[in-house]
Amino acid sequence: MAATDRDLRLDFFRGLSLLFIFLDHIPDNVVSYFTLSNVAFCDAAEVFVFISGFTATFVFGGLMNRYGTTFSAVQILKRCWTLYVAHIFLFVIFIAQVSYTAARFNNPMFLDEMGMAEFLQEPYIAVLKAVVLQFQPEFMNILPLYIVLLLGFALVLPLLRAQPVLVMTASTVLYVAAATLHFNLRKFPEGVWYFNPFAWQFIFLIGAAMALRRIGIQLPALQRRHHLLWLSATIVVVTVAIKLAMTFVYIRTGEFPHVVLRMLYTIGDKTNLEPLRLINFLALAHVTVTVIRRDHPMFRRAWAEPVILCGQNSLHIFCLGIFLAVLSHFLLSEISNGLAAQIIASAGGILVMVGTAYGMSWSKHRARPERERGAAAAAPGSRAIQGGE
Amino acid sequence: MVSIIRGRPLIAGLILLAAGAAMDPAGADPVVPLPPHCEVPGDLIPDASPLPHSRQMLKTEHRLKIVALGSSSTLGLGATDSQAAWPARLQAVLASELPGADVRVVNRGIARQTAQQMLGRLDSDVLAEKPALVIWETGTAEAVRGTDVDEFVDALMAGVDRLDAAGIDVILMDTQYSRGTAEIINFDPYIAAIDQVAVTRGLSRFPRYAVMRYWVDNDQFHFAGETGGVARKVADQVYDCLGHLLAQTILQGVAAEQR
Repeated sequence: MAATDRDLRLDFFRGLSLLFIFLDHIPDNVVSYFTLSNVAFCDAAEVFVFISGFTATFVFGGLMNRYGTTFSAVQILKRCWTLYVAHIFLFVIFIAQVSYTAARFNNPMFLDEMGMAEFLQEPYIAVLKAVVLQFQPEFMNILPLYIVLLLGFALVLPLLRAQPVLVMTASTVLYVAAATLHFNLRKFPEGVWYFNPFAWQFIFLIGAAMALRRIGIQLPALQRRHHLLWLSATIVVVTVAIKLAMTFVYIRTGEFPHVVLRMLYTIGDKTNLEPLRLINFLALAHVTVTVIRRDHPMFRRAWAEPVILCGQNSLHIFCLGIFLAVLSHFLLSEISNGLAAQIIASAGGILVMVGTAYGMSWSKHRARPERERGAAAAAPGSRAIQGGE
Repeated sequence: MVSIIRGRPLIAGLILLAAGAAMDPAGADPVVPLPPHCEVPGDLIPDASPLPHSRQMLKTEHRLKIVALGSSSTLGLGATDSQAAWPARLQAVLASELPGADVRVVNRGIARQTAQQMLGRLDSDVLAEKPALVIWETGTAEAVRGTDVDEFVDALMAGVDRLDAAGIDVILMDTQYSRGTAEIINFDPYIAAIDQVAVTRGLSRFPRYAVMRYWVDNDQFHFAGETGGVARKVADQVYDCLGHLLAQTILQGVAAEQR
């Protein structure tokens, strides 16, 4: 288990969001009815990006305090490189899957659809576009976002430490502009990034700003406000009620209520992190961190440990989750898509993710000499240098 | 249904003609006799919205003109010939179900087109034909390219509104299904977008993806591993089934009372 200096909420909820991302990425999966997106207008993506921002300040800001701006910037770039390699890995998996399907499936009825496999005739274009983060088929859209956000953070972190209010004002302006004017990066072969980085930087930086206190910087705007908590709680209760009602109506009639569809269309777009999603997430996060303190007994329960370990090995578990989702989708459509198969695939995938997380934590722990382990527990921040996340 | 027939004798004659022997004696929706391999559960295809312009054309002119706007699966790729494509099959089925009327279904399928591209040829290919009904098959090119869903919705809305302004009924039809393509392409957001446009504009939608998926899951059709003549025969049968099911949706829409 982790050293006690760690805020296990970060690991727990990041781990939970990784498990949700896996479950949500298997199409028509009954188990995905139990993920966040079914009780809120936001989903695991917001949780993941927010916690990534928080951890970025906590880890790299801590390094900056101890070793200076250049050192922390280099560490951030190293982390970006790791993420980039993971992105290329997922691209190779994607190519392998499409190649396999295209080689076997050659029905002229599906000529339009097999345009998908067309890049196999001109693979150099897709490779080139994947290298510059512009090729983003499904599953390959959140890592490019994370990479550009972290790249930008190498520059933003010193500014955020020195002028938090100024940086957050600029971030808000950029978000509002991106969400209203819809400017975004282009992707290949057409369209825009699924996660608009100009909009999503906002939630990343909100997370980053929240962590400033942890590295010794007070934010004037962030004192506890109890009436705000009531507002947040009300938002959470109302959104959960709406979502559950929607699910109920959907099960009854096979259709979502028109008024909700219209609302989602107007203010609930994921690409530009529209206000419905953002406000819902912030309210949910506010209530969660108030109700669940960092030393909450649930984190010492046996069932919490696997989730926490997934969160502590987030990059590997994320990539593994995507890989397992692709594999599950493939097996479900080739063999059986029954209820039992969906549950088995979901449970099996979670078992593999958790098992891998245990293995990784165990090997990290094993490889570290005793005295260093003691030192790591005593000195917060040093875990990151040794490969912790 | 019954009250329509009593209240408006002119339509009554036609609708009786329309549904003919296929009409359920209890007065329920018209039922087109289906070949057994085309069977789908009754609740898979949503109830048709009224098609007032088609009804009007049938009533006053004793004819029904339909334009099939779409991509290569509308064009009929993979089938024996253009007569086996679903628009031609739809025309044949409707003609036999509407013996008193002159039914024409014009095929305006062009391979690999997005909704935006189809919008560009709406005037020349669709409005110029002056149809009463357009069946708009779309979403495939967008799913393949990963087009922004909002852009897709905007194009659909724009097209639907122009057709509505021109006094034309619309039925929206989503993508094809096969296990092979569903493994590598995420159709869901685009199908959801089509549903959303249909719901907000009160249109009928034809859930081709769900229908074909049901056939595959129930071993009524296989698309993988079939080549040459076998693949062509499967394509012919699928298009024929789609023609039957679409005819049923249209007859329901014509018979449905305006809300």
